[in-house]
Amino acid sequence: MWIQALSVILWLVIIPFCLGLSATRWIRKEYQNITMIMVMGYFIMLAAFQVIYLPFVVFYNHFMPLVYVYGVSMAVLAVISLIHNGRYWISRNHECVMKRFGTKNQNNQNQKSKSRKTLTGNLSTGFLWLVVFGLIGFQIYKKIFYQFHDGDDAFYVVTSVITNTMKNMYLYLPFTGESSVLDKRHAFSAAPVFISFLSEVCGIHPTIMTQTIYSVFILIFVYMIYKLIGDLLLPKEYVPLFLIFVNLMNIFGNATIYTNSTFLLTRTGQGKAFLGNIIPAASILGLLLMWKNLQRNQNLDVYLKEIENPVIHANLKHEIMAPWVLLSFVMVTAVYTSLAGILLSALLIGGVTVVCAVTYKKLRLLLPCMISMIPLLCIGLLYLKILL
Amino acid sequence: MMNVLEKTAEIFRAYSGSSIYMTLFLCGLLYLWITEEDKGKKTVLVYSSACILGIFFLPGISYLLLNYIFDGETYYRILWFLPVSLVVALAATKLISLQRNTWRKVVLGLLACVIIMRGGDYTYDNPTFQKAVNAYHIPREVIDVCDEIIPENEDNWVCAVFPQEMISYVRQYSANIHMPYGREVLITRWNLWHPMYQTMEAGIIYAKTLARQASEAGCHYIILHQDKVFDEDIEQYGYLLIKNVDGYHIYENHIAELGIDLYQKDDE
Repeated sequence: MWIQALSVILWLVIIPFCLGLSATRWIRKEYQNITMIMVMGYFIMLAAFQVIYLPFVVFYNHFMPLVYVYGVSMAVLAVISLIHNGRYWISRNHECVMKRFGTKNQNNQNQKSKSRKTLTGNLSTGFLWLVVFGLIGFQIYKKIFYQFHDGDDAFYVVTSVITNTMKNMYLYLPFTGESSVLDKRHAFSAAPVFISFLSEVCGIHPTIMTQTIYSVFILIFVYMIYKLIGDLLLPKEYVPLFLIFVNLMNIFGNATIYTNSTFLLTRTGQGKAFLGNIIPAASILGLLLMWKNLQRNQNLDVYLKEIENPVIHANLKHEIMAPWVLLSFVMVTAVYTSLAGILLSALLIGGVTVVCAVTYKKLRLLLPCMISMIPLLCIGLLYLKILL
Repeated sequence: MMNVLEKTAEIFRAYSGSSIYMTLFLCGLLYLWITEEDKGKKTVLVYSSACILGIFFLPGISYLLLNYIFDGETYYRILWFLPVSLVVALAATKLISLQRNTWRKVVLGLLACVIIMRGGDYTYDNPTFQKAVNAYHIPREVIDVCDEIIPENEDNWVCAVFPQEMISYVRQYSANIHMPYGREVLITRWNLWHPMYQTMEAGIIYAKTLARQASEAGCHYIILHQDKVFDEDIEQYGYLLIKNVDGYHIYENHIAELGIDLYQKDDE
């Protein structure tokens, strides 16, 4: 039991955290926080799984080698990322602490006069955060202790169970168990196989993994992304209020069986919930980050021309590329859920980028957008190869 | 083209249902479009939503998407890319943040919560939500019956036919249990008919027909609710009752050992 719990923490908390340290380092300092690290880490992990999984399912179709290759590469990458970025994050943390407390000492006088107001503000913000955690906790409680019968589980959950039992992928019919040829329509979606991977490395039955652990992970993942979007769109003190509204919209969003909120709370473990909730929100997050860079760089253009410091130039280049890296991961992860995800995410990201490029008269913006779509193109070509 | 437009409008209506969220979303979009000064936020939230709605409704594009990429059953998924919760939550928060009076903020905040709660539909009052009886989220009787028939050796498998209420769950518990038919027979629009399903779910079960069909499908076991009625004793056709688990009878195939020839008996 303890080993299983520790394995879950290792694979869903520690490894994504270590992986996220690397990509988040490139993001602008004001947006670097633990939530961003975790979200980045999850996307790296899922996109990497999709990329490693595809050749396995198409050309080799054995599950255990996939588990070893992916498991070892993620563990090694996590350790490298921790060693490589650890020092940066320690100094960054120190910088943040100094900034917070240093400023406090300097502006002691000012603070006294404002302290009352700040205290009230802090209390109300704290209360709102409590409500946010309460609402998320309520959804997690319902997810773990209540069951929702959905017929599609007989396909998706069973695919995970088959993968785990038969040690191959999409070669058996989920409904009956008959052996078959590769199910081309669904084989590109790695979501059920990823759940099998988690259950293999954690020693937990795939159905338990899907219905409780993975579903809770998805819920937390969704709200983490919304928190980051809130950080980008609103002043800090209004973020919890924004999150309360988002939570309520989801809890009361069961207008029909088709809404993404319904999928999130009832069919959480299925790839469709991921496609309908995480991919659009993460695309918007990446696009907002890209836009913030664009806005800032508009003012920086003159400044950059005047200075010739290579370190600043390199840092800025990384900052400019970071949202595209995230968007690229998001697009690859869209395939993780469904092939339709390729088209939908590419439409959203490509469309907004074109609008941005026209609005700011910066056609060079289209280049990173196209580069970030290269993985999608490769996946599309692979799909065509299988079909023909 | 009119047909496509009507179809997309119908899909949109089916997606939105009776809740006011789509109206709130459109109001939120309008509010952000008028008040938002930041071009970035406008582009990412307002213009992108307009583009998605355009793609969804525009007859030429929707015709292509409906016929070549999606179908009538999955086309609504394009609407998942509308940031409904995000826009409504952002517009409400922005409206509240503009108020200077704290009490007004509190009242507006509560009002927004009430509108969201009253205007939507509470997810957890769906009767399909039930207290989970185990971590698998599978009915207890399914697990108990499966435990009874699963082969001890993990590399082996058995084939069993289950009653309708168990079909969806069996293979979620164990992939070592095969079934002659699965969930596909429950979906009427798929039109996948299976003769044994008809026999299993009939008011009175014809024992001989079931035994013959199960034997032809290679079923080691037949699982039936104890209340099910046979026209004659099924044991005479080689399926022997070995146990009753949680109100379900488990019949095991002994046709070969007993030397029963179901076809010869038919001729007699």
